[in-house]
Amino acid sequence: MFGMEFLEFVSFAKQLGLALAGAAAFWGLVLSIKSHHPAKGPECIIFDWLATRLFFLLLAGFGIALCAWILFLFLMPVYAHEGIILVPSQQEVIRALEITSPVFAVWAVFVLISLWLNRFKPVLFGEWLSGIYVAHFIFLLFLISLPAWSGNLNAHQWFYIGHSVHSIFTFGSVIVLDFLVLISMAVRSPAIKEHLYPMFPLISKFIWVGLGIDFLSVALVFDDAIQMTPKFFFMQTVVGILIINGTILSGPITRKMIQAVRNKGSEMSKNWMRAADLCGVISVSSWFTITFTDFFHHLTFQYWQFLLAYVSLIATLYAGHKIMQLFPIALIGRHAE
Amino acid sequence: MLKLNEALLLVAGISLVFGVALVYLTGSFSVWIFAKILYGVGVSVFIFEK
Repeated sequence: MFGMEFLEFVSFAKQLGLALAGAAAFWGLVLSIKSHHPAKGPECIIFDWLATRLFFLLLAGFGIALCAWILFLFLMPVYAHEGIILVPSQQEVIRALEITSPVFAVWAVFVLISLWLNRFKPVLFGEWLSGIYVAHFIFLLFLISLPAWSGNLNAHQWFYIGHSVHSIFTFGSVIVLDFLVLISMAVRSPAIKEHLYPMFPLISKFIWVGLGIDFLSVALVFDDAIQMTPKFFFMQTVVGILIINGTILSGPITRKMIQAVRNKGSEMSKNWMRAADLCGVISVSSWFTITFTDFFHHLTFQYWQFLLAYVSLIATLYAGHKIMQLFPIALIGRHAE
Repeated sequence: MLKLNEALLLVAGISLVFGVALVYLTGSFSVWIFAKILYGVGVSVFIFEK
């Protein structure tokens, strides 16, 4: 359908799972480090609680990656990224699978051990949380770094690495950010918002740097990788929109949110709230769009069809977000409390 | 009010969108490359700001 193949869905799912688990491990580590404050104030409990919640996001990423990995082992992926084409040979992909599959198996065992600790030894799990997240992050950094192995660290290989790793800091971190915002809305605790929102500029920095890593990796293979297709023009348009939207979201809107939670009792105006909701939806839709579209390189869409699908996704997610605010968040809140 | 890094990133984003149009119309990547360099400058300022 539209030039999409099943194998490409599997490749995308693998990348999504690894990026999600990697981002959950990375931000879980940051939050657990922040919870080790010598003053042992309420922020320790809040950051520790948030860090523990991210373990479930890591498990979700693991579940997606595991299903995709099993299917992927039997299929031959071909990659394209950000509308920029550079296709690894089947041999390169097979070599990477041969190297990474044993590591994936060890990581799977470590996930099971972590889950067992979380379920049956919660005190120990809490004490070792930083170390557990460090180990997960190292595994995931390695696994996501090798979508293909050219045999040596040449420009193409650095392109594969940079173009794959950035997903942890971009797409994965955006999902983690949304997850944390959802939790803060669900539990309706001003204390959580007060400690969480000031972290947003830090998270934004990593997202910006992640996109920078991607730009640098493309620069390495510029002559080989550019192909002026409708997909290239569409993807570059979305990247431009992402930067404009991200600037507004991580700048004025984040400052308003932090200001609102610091001045207890004062809330953001409805216009600012609407702007925050819309920019948040555009952000997650755009990251999803460029990551998803990257894995489908025989798409038969014209530029306007790509744009129509993109705008439809934003409208659907915005409507879903509004419905979520009315109904399921209350359920999550009850559960979290 | 925008900070310096935000202004740079905003200009980079707008330049990228126009740069893509320019690539399509003329085949020239100059504005596209300028936007990406400006993005790098904006992110560097953001990282090192207090």
